Amino acid sequence: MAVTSNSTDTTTLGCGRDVDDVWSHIDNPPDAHETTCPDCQAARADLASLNAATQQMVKADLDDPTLRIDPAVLDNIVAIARSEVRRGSKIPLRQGSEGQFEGELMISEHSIATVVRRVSDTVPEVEARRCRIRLTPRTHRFPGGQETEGAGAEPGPALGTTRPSQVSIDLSVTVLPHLAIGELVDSLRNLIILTVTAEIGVEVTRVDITVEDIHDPAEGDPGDDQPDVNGQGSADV
Amino acid sequence: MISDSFATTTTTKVEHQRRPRGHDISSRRTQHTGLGNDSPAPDQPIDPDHAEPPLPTPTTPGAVLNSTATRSLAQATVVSRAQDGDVAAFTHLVRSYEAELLRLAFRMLTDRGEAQDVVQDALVLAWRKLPTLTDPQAFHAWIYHITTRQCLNFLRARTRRRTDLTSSGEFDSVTRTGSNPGDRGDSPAAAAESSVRQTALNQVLATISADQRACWVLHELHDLSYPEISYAIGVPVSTVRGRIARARQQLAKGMTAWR
Repeated sequence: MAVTSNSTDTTTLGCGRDVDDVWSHIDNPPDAHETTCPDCQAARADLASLNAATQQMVKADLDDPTLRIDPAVLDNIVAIARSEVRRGSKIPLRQGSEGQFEGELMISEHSIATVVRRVSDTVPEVEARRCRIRLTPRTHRFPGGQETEGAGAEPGPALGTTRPSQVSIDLSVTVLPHLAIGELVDSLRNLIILTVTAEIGVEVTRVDITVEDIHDPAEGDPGDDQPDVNGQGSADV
Repeated sequence: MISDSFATTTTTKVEHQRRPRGHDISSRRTQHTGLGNDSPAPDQPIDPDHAEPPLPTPTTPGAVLNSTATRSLAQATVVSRAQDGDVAAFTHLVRSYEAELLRLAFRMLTDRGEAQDVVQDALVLAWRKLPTLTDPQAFHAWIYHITTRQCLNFLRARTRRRTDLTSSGEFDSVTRTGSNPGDRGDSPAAAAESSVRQTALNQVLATISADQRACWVLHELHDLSYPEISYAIGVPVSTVRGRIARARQQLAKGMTAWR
Protein backbone atom coordinates (compact mmCIF):
# COMPACT_ATOMS: atom_id res chain seq x y z
CA MET A 1 0.00 0.00 0.00
CA ALA A 2 1.45 3.37 -0.97
CA VAL A 3 2.10 5.27 2.18
CA THR A 4 4.39 8.23 2.69
CA SER A 5 6.30 7.04 5.68
CA ASN A 6 7.23 3.75 7.22
CA SER A 7 5.77 4.83 10.48
CA THR A 8 2.59 3.07 11.42
CA ASP A 9 1.38 6.25 13.03
CA THR A 10 0.45 8.01 9.84
CA THR A 11 -2.55 7.16 7.77
CA THR A 12 -1.75 9.64 5.01
CA LEU A 13 -1.18 8.37 1.50
CA GLY A 14 1.62 9.59 -0.77
CA CYS A 15 -0.76 11.99 -2.47
CA GLY A 16 -1.74 13.57 0.84
CA ARG A 17 -5.13 11.94 1.24
CA ASP A 18 -6.00 10.05 4.37
CA VAL A 19 -6.82 6.35 4.37
CA ASP A 20 -9.95 7.22 6.30
CA ASP A 21 -11.15 9.42 3.43
CA VAL A 22 -10.54 6.70 0.88
CA TRP A 23 -12.34 4.18 3.07
CA SER A 24 -15.29 6.48 3.62
CA HIS A 25 -16.48 5.99 0.05
CA ILE A 26 -14.91 2.66 -0.79
CA ASP A 27 -18.33 1.36 -1.83
CA ASN A 28 -18.81 4.20 -4.32
CA PRO A 29 -17.01 4.73 -7.63
CA PRO A 30 -13.67 6.58 -7.35
CA ASP A 31 -13.89 10.36 -7.39
CA ALA A 32 -12.05 12.56 -9.89
CA HIS A 33 -8.80 12.56 -7.92
CA GLU A 34 -8.87 8.85 -7.29
CA THR A 35 -9.34 7.93 -10.93
CA THR A 36 -5.96 9.48 -11.73
CA CYS A 37 -4.00 9.11 -8.51
CA PRO A 38 -1.90 5.93 -8.37
CA ASP A 39 -1.62 6.14 -4.57
CA CYS A 40 -5.37 6.28 -4.17
CA GLN A 41 -5.94 3.56 -6.75
CA ALA A 42 -3.58 1.22 -4.92
CA ALA A 43 -5.15 2.09 -1.62
CA ARG A 44 -8.64 1.54 -3.01
CA ALA A 45 -7.68 -1.87 -4.34
CA ASP A 46 -6.16 -2.89 -1.00
CA LEU A 47 -9.04 -1.54 1.02
CA ALA A 48 -11.61 -3.16 -1.25
CA SER A 49 -9.92 -6.46 -0.66
CA LEU A 50 -9.94 -5.82 3.09
CA ASN A 51 -13.59 -4.85 2.88
CA ALA A 52 -14.50 -8.10 1.16
CA ALA A 53 -12.45 -10.14 3.62
CA THR A 54 -14.08 -8.33 6.54
CA GLN A 55 -17.55 -9.15 5.34
CA GLN A 56 -16.51 -12.76 4.85
CA MET A 57 -15.13 -12.84 8.36
CA VAL A 58 -18.38 -11.54 9.86
CA LYS A 59 -20.35 -14.21 8.06
CA ALA A 60 -17.87 -17.00 8.77
CA ASP A 61 -17.82 -16.20 12.50
CA LEU A 62 -21.61 -15.98 12.64
CA ASP A 63 -21.95 -19.34 10.92
CA ASP A 64 -19.21 -21.02 12.95
CA PRO A 65 -21.02 -23.48 15.25
CA THR A 66 -17.95 -23.73 17.47
CA LEU A 67 -18.15 -20.04 18.33
CA ARG A 68 -20.80 -20.64 20.96
CA ILE A 69 -20.24 -20.86 24.68
CA ASP A 70 -20.38 -24.40 26.02
CA PRO A 71 -23.83 -24.91 27.62
CA ALA A 72 -22.15 -26.21 30.76
CA VAL A 73 -20.25 -22.93 31.02
CA LEU A 74 -23.46 -20.97 30.55
CA ASP A 75 -25.06 -23.01 33.32
CA ASN A 76 -22.07 -22.26 35.48
CA ILE A 77 -22.39 -18.51 34.90
CA VAL A 78 -26.04 -18.60 35.89
CA ALA A 79 -25.26 -20.78 38.91
CA ILE A 80 -22.69 -18.26 40.09
CA ALA A 81 -25.23 -15.46 39.61
CA ARG A 82 -27.84 -17.39 41.55
CA SER A 83 -25.42 -18.05 44.40
CA GLU A 84 -24.69 -14.35 44.62
CA VAL A 85 -28.21 -12.99 44.33
CA ARG A 86 -28.52 -9.65 46.00
CA ARG A 87 -31.52 -10.13 48.20
CA GLY A 88 -31.71 -6.60 49.47
CA SER A 89 -32.64 -5.75 52.99
CA LYS A 90 -34.51 -8.11 55.28
CA ILE A 91 -37.99 -7.09 56.19
CA PRO A 92 -39.69 -8.47 59.31
CA LEU A 93 -43.12 -9.90 58.70
CA ARG A 94 -44.46 -8.37 61.91
CA GLN A 95 -43.78 -5.24 63.87
CA GLY A 96 -44.51 -4.37 67.45
CA SER A 97 -46.79 -1.59 68.54
CA GLU A 98 -43.93 0.84 68.99
CA GLY A 99 -42.53 0.10 65.56
CA GLN A 100 -39.85 -2.26 66.83
CA PHE A 101 -39.26 -5.53 65.02
CA GLU A 102 -40.54 -8.61 66.72
CA GLY A 103 -40.28 -12.27 66.07
CA GLU A 104 -37.86 -13.94 63.76
CA LEU A 105 -39.84 -14.19 60.57
CA MET A 106 -38.14 -12.08 57.96
CA ILE A 107 -38.58 -11.80 54.23
CA SER A 108 -36.13 -10.34 51.76
CA GLU A 109 -36.83 -7.29 49.69
CA HIS A 110 -35.92 -9.47 46.72
CA SER A 111 -38.73 -11.94 47.45
CA ILE A 112 -41.36 -9.26 47.69
CA ALA A 113 -40.08 -7.63 44.50
CA THR A 114 -40.39 -10.97 42.73
CA VAL A 115 -44.06 -11.12 43.67
CA VAL A 116 -44.56 -7.53 42.53
CA ARG A 117 -42.97 -8.23 39.14
CA ARG A 118 -44.90 -11.45 38.72
CA VAL A 119 -48.25 -9.81 39.31
CA SER A 120 -47.28 -6.87 37.09
CA ASP A 121 -46.47 -9.31 34.31
CA THR A 122 -50.11 -10.33 34.23
CA VAL A 123 -50.95 -6.85 32.97
CA PRO A 124 -50.06 -6.96 29.28
CA GLU A 125 -49.83 -3.19 28.86
CA VAL A 126 -47.12 -2.87 31.49
CA GLU A 127 -43.49 -3.88 31.82
CA ALA A 128 -42.27 -3.77 35.40
CA ARG A 129 -38.68 -2.65 35.78
CA ARG A 130 -37.03 -1.74 39.05
CA CYS A 131 -38.69 -2.39 42.34
CA ARG A 132 -37.77 -1.17 45.82
CA ILE A 133 -39.42 -2.27 49.02
CA ARG A 134 -39.05 -0.28 52.21
CA LEU A 135 -40.25 -0.97 55.69
CA THR A 136 -42.49 1.84 56.80
CA PRO A 137 -41.90 2.84 60.42
CA ARG A 138 -45.17 2.26 62.19
CA THR A 139 -46.46 5.59 63.31
CA HIS A 140 -49.87 6.52 64.53
CA ARG A 141 -50.71 8.03 61.21
CA PHE A 142 -50.60 5.94 58.10
CA PRO A 143 -50.22 7.92 54.93
CA GLY A 144 -52.40 6.35 52.30
CA GLY A 145 -53.27 3.33 54.43
CA GLN A 146 -56.20 2.19 52.38
CA GLU A 147 -56.64 -1.10 54.15
CA THR A 148 -56.43 0.31 57.65
CA GLU A 149 -58.83 3.18 57.71
CA GLY A 150 -59.76 4.10 61.22
CA ALA A 151 -56.68 2.42 62.61
CA GLY A 152 -54.54 5.37 61.68
CA ALA A 153 -56.00 7.68 64.23
CA GLU A 154 -55.87 5.24 67.09
CA PRO A 155 -52.99 5.25 69.53
CA GLY A 156 -52.03 1.72 68.51
CA PRO A 157 -52.63 -1.62 70.17
CA ALA A 158 -51.43 -2.55 73.60
CA LEU A 159 -47.76 -3.04 74.28
CA GLY A 160 -46.48 -6.47 73.43
CA THR A 161 -48.83 -7.20 70.59
CA THR A 162 -47.63 -7.27 67.02
CA ARG A 163 -49.20 -6.47 63.72
CA PRO A 164 -48.19 -7.14 60.15
CA SER A 165 -45.31 -4.98 59.06
CA GLN A 166 -46.02 -2.07 56.82
CA VAL A 167 -44.08 -1.65 53.63
CA SER A 168 -44.02 0.85 50.84
CA ILE A 169 -43.23 -0.15 47.28
CA ASP A 170 -41.51 1.88 44.59
CA LEU A 171 -41.97 0.43 41.14
CA SER A 172 -40.83 1.77 37.80
CA VAL A 173 -42.68 0.62 34.71
CA THR A 174 -42.97 1.24 31.03
CA VAL A 175 -46.34 1.13 29.34
CA LEU A 176 -47.70 0.77 25.85
CA PRO A 177 -48.47 4.05 24.11
CA HIS A 178 -51.93 5.54 23.85
CA LEU A 179 -53.25 4.28 27.14
CA ALA A 180 -55.08 5.98 29.96
CA ILE A 181 -52.09 5.98 32.27
CA GLY A 182 -54.01 6.99 35.38
CA GLU A 183 -56.47 4.13 35.24
CA LEU A 184 -53.80 1.65 34.29
CA VAL A 185 -51.59 2.65 37.20
CA ASP A 186 -54.51 2.58 39.62
CA SER A 187 -55.51 -0.92 38.65
CA LEU A 188 -51.90 -2.10 38.77
CA ARG A 189 -51.51 -0.55 42.22
CA ASN A 190 -54.61 -2.32 43.52
CA LEU A 191 -53.45 -5.60 42.05
CA ILE A 192 -50.07 -5.25 43.76
CA ILE A 193 -51.61 -4.36 47.11
CA LEU A 194 -54.02 -7.29 47.00
CA THR A 195 -51.43 -9.81 45.93
CA VAL A 196 -48.62 -8.77 48.26
CA THR A 197 -51.00 -8.58 51.19
CA ALA A 198 -52.42 -12.01 50.43
CA GLU A 199 -49.20 -13.82 49.56
CA ILE A 200 -46.67 -12.20 51.87
CA GLY A 201 -48.84 -11.09 54.73
CA VAL A 202 -47.38 -7.63 55.14
CA GLU A 203 -49.44 -4.50 54.88
CA VAL A 204 -48.80 -2.33 51.84
CA THR A 205 -49.19 1.29 52.80
CA ARG A 206 -47.98 2.90 49.65
CA VAL A 207 -47.24 1.95 46.05
CA ASP A 208 -45.41 4.59 44.07
CA ILE A 209 -45.47 3.71 40.39
CA THR A 210 -43.22 5.68 38.08
CA VAL A 211 -43.96 5.45 34.40
CA GLU A 212 -40.44 6.03 33.15
CA ASP A 213 -40.90 5.22 29.50
CA ILE A 214 -43.31 3.91 26.95
CA HIS A 215 -42.48 0.94 24.83
CA ASP A 216 -43.54 0.33 21.30
CA PRO A 217 -45.26 -2.97 20.61
CA ALA A 218 -44.66 -2.67 16.86
CA GLU A 219 -40.92 -2.73 17.41
CA GLY A 220 -41.14 -5.26 20.18
CA ASP A 221 -40.65 -8.62 18.62
CA PRO A 222 -40.57 -8.93 14.85
CA GLY A 223 -41.58 -12.55 15.02
CA ASP A 224 -44.75 -12.13 17.00
CA ASP A 225 -48.22 -11.38 15.85
CA GLN A 226 -48.28 -7.66 16.19
CA PRO A 227 -51.90 -6.97 15.27
CA ASP A 228 -52.86 -8.62 18.51
CA VAL A 229 -50.72 -6.29 20.56
CA ASN A 230 -51.79 -3.23 18.62
CA GLY A 231 -55.41 -4.13 19.17
CA GLN A 232 -54.88 -4.13 22.90
CA GLY A 233 -53.21 -0.77 22.74
CA SER A 234 -56.41 0.83 21.53
CA ALA A 235 -58.60 -0.76 24.12
CA ASP A 236 -59.63 1.09 27.21
CA VAL A 237 -57.85 -0.12 30.29
CA MET B 1 -43.28 -18.78 35.67
CA ILE B 2 -41.00 -15.99 34.67
CA SER B 3 -37.97 -18.18 34.41
CA ASP B 4 -39.83 -20.66 32.26
CA SER B 5 -40.92 -18.06 29.81
CA PHE B 6 -37.44 -16.60 29.56
CA ALA B 7 -35.89 -20.00 29.09
CA THR B 8 -38.14 -21.17 26.31
CA THR B 9 -37.82 -18.12 24.12
CA THR B 10 -34.15 -17.55 24.57
CA THR B 11 -33.19 -20.96 23.39
CA THR B 12 -35.23 -20.72 20.24
CA LYS B 13 -35.13 -17.07 19.32
CA VAL B 14 -31.79 -15.71 20.29
CA GLU B 15 -30.14 -15.89 16.91
CA HIS B 16 -33.10 -14.49 15.05
CA GLN B 17 -33.40 -11.62 17.42
CA ARG B 18 -29.80 -10.63 17.65
CA ARG B 19 -29.16 -10.42 13.96
CA PRO B 20 -31.81 -7.95 12.85
CA ARG B 21 -30.26 -5.52 15.27
CA GLY B 22 -27.54 -4.87 12.74
CA HIS B 23 -30.15 -3.48 10.41
CA ASP B 24 -31.72 -1.48 13.17
CA ILE B 25 -28.45 0.21 13.93
CA SER B 26 -29.70 3.76 13.60
CA SER B 27 -32.25 3.47 16.34
CA ARG B 28 -29.86 1.52 18.50
CA ARG B 29 -27.10 4.00 18.02
CA THR B 30 -29.20 6.94 19.02
CA GLN B 31 -29.89 5.09 22.22
CA HIS B 32 -26.23 4.75 22.96
CA THR B 33 -24.81 8.07 21.97
CA GLY B 34 -25.77 9.61 25.28
CA LEU B 35 -23.68 7.31 27.36
CA GLY B 36 -22.60 8.23 30.82
CA ASN B 37 -24.33 10.90 32.75
CA ASP B 38 -27.03 12.13 30.46
CA SER B 39 -29.39 9.24 30.83
CA PRO B 40 -32.48 9.86 28.78
CA ALA B 41 -35.05 11.86 30.63
CA PRO B 42 -38.34 10.05 31.01
CA ASP B 43 -40.52 11.09 28.16
CA GLN B 44 -43.74 12.66 29.13
CA PRO B 45 -45.61 12.96 25.89
CA ILE B 46 -48.26 10.75 27.36
CA ASP B 47 -51.61 12.39 27.61
CA PRO B 48 -54.07 10.19 29.44
CA ASP B 49 -57.06 12.17 28.23
CA HIS B 50 -55.99 12.11 24.65
CA ALA B 51 -57.03 8.70 23.47
CA GLU B 52 -56.02 8.52 19.87
CA PRO B 53 -56.30 5.40 17.79
CA PRO B 54 -52.96 3.64 17.74
CA LEU B 55 -50.63 4.55 14.93
CA PRO B 56 -48.93 1.71 13.10
CA THR B 57 -45.49 3.02 14.00
CA PRO B 58 -45.66 5.59 16.78
CA THR B 59 -42.38 7.47 16.83
CA THR B 60 -41.52 8.12 20.39
CA PRO B 61 -38.11 9.57 21.15
CA GLY B 62 -36.41 7.53 23.79
CA ALA B 63 -38.83 4.68 23.57
CA VAL B 64 -37.27 1.29 23.88
CA LEU B 65 -37.26 -0.20 20.45
CA ASN B 66 -35.17 -3.21 21.03
CA SER B 67 -37.13 -5.89 22.76
CA THR B 68 -35.64 -9.28 23.20
CA ALA B 69 -37.60 -11.28 25.68
CA THR B 70 -40.79 -13.17 25.96
CA ARG B 71 -43.88 -11.03 25.91
CA SER B 72 -41.73 -8.58 23.93
CA LEU B 73 -40.03 -7.22 26.99
CA ALA B 74 -37.81 -4.33 26.03
CA GLN B 75 -34.15 -5.00 26.64
CA ALA B 76 -33.97 -2.11 29.08
CA THR B 77 -36.72 -3.84 31.08
CA VAL B 78 -34.78 -7.09 31.18
CA VAL B 79 -31.64 -5.17 32.19
CA SER B 80 -33.54 -3.33 34.93
CA ARG B 81 -34.81 -6.59 36.35
CA ALA B 82 -31.35 -8.12 36.27
CA GLN B 83 -30.11 -5.05 38.13
CA ASP B 84 -32.65 -5.86 40.82
CA GLY B 85 -31.20 -9.35 41.15
CA ASP B 86 -33.64 -11.20 38.88
CA VAL B 87 -31.64 -14.26 37.82
CA ALA B 88 -34.10 -15.18 35.06
CA ALA B 89 -33.60 -11.78 33.47
CA PHE B 90 -29.84 -12.10 33.77
CA THR B 91 -30.02 -15.58 32.23
CA HIS B 92 -31.83 -14.09 29.28
CA LEU B 93 -29.11 -11.49 28.83
CA VAL B 94 -26.42 -14.15 29.06
CA ARG B 95 -28.08 -16.23 26.36
CA SER B 96 -28.63 -13.17 24.19
CA TYR B 97 -25.04 -12.08 24.34
CA GLU B 98 -22.89 -15.18 24.77
CA ALA B 99 -22.30 -15.82 21.08
CA GLU B 100 -21.41 -12.29 20.06
CA LEU B 101 -19.17 -11.77 23.07
CA LEU B 102 -17.41 -15.03 22.30
CA ARG B 103 -16.86 -13.87 18.72
CA LEU B 104 -15.37 -10.66 20.08
CA ALA B 105 -13.11 -12.46 22.54
CA PHE B 106 -12.04 -15.00 19.95
CA ARG B 107 -11.00 -12.29 17.50
CA MET B 108 -9.14 -10.53 20.28
CA LEU B 109 -7.41 -13.60 21.73
CA THR B 110 -7.38 -15.99 18.73
CA ASP B 111 -7.96 -18.94 21.03
CA ARG B 112 -11.41 -20.42 21.61
CA GLY B 113 -10.74 -21.85 25.04
CA GLU B 114 -9.23 -18.64 26.36
CA ALA B 115 -12.00 -16.64 24.72
CA GLN B 116 -14.63 -18.71 26.49
CA ASP B 117 -12.89 -18.24 29.85
CA VAL B 118 -12.73 -14.50 29.33
CA VAL B 119 -16.40 -14.27 28.37
CA GLN B 120 -17.39 -16.27 31.43
CA ASP B 121 -15.39 -13.92 33.64
CA ALA B 122 -16.88 -10.92 31.87
CA LEU B 123 -20.47 -12.10 32.34
CA VAL B 124 -19.94 -12.90 36.01
CA LEU B 125 -18.32 -9.51 36.46
CA ALA B 126 -21.28 -7.94 34.66
CA TRP B 127 -23.67 -9.59 37.10
CA ARG B 128 -21.71 -8.20 40.04
CA LYS B 129 -21.46 -4.72 38.58
CA LEU B 130 -24.97 -4.44 37.16
CA PRO B 131 -26.23 -2.31 40.05
CA THR B 132 -23.67 0.35 39.07
CA LEU B 133 -25.05 0.68 35.56
CA THR B 134 -26.97 3.95 35.70
CA ASP B 135 -28.75 3.75 32.37
CA PRO B 136 -30.21 0.36 31.41
CA GLN B 137 -30.37 1.54 27.79
CA ALA B 138 -26.58 1.62 27.78
CA PHE B 139 -26.28 -2.08 28.57
CA HIS B 140 -25.16 -3.03 25.07
CA ALA B 141 -22.13 -0.73 25.07
CA TRP B 142 -21.55 -1.51 28.74
CA ILE B 143 -21.29 -5.28 28.29
CA TYR B 144 -18.94 -4.69 25.37
CA HIS B 145 -16.94 -2.37 27.62
CA ILE B 146 -16.56 -5.07 30.26
CA THR B 147 -15.73 -7.83 27.81
CA THR B 148 -13.25 -5.76 25.81
CA ARG B 149 -11.47 -4.72 28.96
CA GLN B 150 -11.27 -8.34 30.12
CA CYS B 151 -9.77 -9.25 26.74
CA LEU B 152 -7.18 -6.48 26.90
CA ASN B 153 -6.26 -7.41 30.47
CA PHE B 154 -5.93 -11.01 29.44
CA LEU B 155 -3.67 -10.09 26.53
CA ARG B 156 -1.43 -8.01 28.78
CA ALA B 157 -1.10 -10.91 31.18
CA ARG B 158 -0.46 -13.30 28.31
CA THR B 159 2.27 -11.04 26.95
CA ARG B 160 3.95 -11.18 30.31
CA ARG B 161 3.65 -14.97 30.35
CA ARG B 162 4.87 -15.53 26.83
CA THR B 163 7.55 -12.94 26.35
CA ASP B 164 10.03 -15.54 25.25
CA LEU B 165 7.72 -17.92 23.48
CA THR B 166 6.80 -17.82 19.85
CA SER B 167 3.15 -17.39 19.04
CA SER B 168 3.11 -19.82 16.13
CA GLY B 169 0.52 -21.94 17.88
CA GLU B 170 -1.96 -19.11 17.73
CA PHE B 171 -1.64 -18.79 14.01
CA ASP B 172 -2.52 -22.43 13.51
CA SER B 173 -5.75 -22.02 15.36
CA VAL B 174 -6.54 -18.79 13.56
CA THR B 175 -5.88 -20.21 10.13
CA ARG B 176 -8.34 -22.99 10.65
CA THR B 177 -11.11 -20.52 11.29
CA GLY B 178 -11.21 -19.34 7.71
CA SER B 179 -14.46 -19.67 5.86
CA ASN B 180 -15.14 -22.76 3.89
CA PRO B 181 -15.03 -21.42 0.38
CA GLY B 182 -16.73 -24.41 -1.18
CA ASP B 183 -19.83 -23.97 0.92
CA ARG B 184 -21.33 -21.11 -1.00
CA GLY B 185 -21.06 -22.65 -4.45
CA ASP B 186 -18.59 -20.05 -5.73
CA SER B 187 -16.55 -20.83 -8.77
CA PRO B 188 -13.30 -22.60 -7.88
CA ALA B 189 -11.22 -19.55 -8.78
CA ALA B 190 -13.38 -17.16 -6.80
CA ALA B 191 -13.48 -19.60 -3.92
CA ALA B 192 -9.72 -19.87 -3.92
CA GLU B 193 -9.37 -16.11 -4.03
CA SER B 194 -11.88 -15.75 -1.24
CA SER B 195 -10.13 -18.37 0.83
CA VAL B 196 -6.74 -16.73 0.42
CA ARG B 197 -8.17 -13.36 1.34
CA GLN B 198 -9.86 -14.80 4.40
CA THR B 199 -6.75 -16.57 5.59
CA ALA B 200 -4.69 -13.44 5.05
CA LEU B 201 -7.04 -11.33 7.15
CA ASN B 202 -7.18 -13.96 9.89
CA GLN B 203 -3.44 -13.95 10.18
CA VAL B 204 -2.74 -10.27 9.78
CA LEU B 205 -5.45 -9.35 12.29
CA ALA B 206 -3.60 -11.34 14.93
CA THR B 207 -0.46 -9.28 14.38
CA ILE B 208 -1.72 -5.72 14.84
CA SER B 209 -1.67 -4.12 18.26
CA ALA B 210 -4.36 -5.16 20.71
CA ASP B 211 -5.65 -1.60 21.04
CA GLN B 212 -6.06 -1.22 17.30
CA ARG B 213 -7.51 -4.69 16.97
CA ALA B 214 -10.08 -3.99 19.66
CA CYS B 215 -11.29 -0.83 17.92
CA TRP B 216 -11.34 -2.46 14.51
CA VAL B 217 -13.15 -5.60 15.68
CA LEU B 218 -15.77 -3.63 17.62
CA HIS B 219 -16.45 -1.40 14.65
CA GLU B 220 -16.17 -3.73 11.70
CA LEU B 221 -17.33 -7.03 13.17
CA HIS B 222 -19.74 -5.82 15.86
CA ASP B 223 -21.21 -2.66 14.36
CA LEU B 224 -20.41 -0.51 17.37
CA SER B 225 -20.40 3.23 16.70
CA TYR B 226 -17.36 5.38 17.45
CA PRO B 227 -18.98 6.79 20.63
CA GLU B 228 -19.83 3.27 21.77
CA ILE B 229 -16.25 2.14 21.19
CA SER B 230 -14.99 5.25 22.92
CA TYR B 231 -17.04 4.22 25.94
CA ALA B 232 -16.05 0.55 25.68
CA ILE B 233 -12.32 1.24 25.51
CA GLY B 234 -12.22 4.40 27.58
CA VAL B 235 -10.47 6.63 25.06
CA PRO B 236 -11.72 9.70 23.16
CA VAL B 237 -13.63 9.29 19.92
CA SER B 238 -10.76 10.90 18.03
CA THR B 239 -8.44 8.18 19.30
CA VAL B 240 -10.91 5.51 18.24
CA ARG B 241 -11.09 7.03 14.79
CA GLY B 242 -7.30 7.11 14.50
CA ARG B 243 -6.88 3.55 15.69
CA ILE B 244 -9.46 2.22 13.25
CA ALA B 245 -7.86 4.10 10.36
CA ARG B 246 -4.42 2.76 11.30
CA ALA B 247 -5.81 -0.75 11.74
CA ARG B 248 -7.36 -0.63 8.27
CA GLN B 249 -4.13 0.58 6.80
CA GLN B 250 -2.10 -2.10 8.57
CA LEU B 251 -4.54 -4.82 7.63
CA ALA B 252 -4.74 -3.78 3.99
CA LYS B 253 -0.98 -3.51 3.78
CA GLY B 254 -0.48 -6.76 5.64
CA MET B 255 -2.91 -8.66 3.45
CA THR B 256 -1.17 -7.45 0.30
CA ALA B 257 2.20 -8.42 1.69
CA TRP B 258 0.92 -11.78 2.89
CA ARG B 259 -0.11 -12.94 -0.56
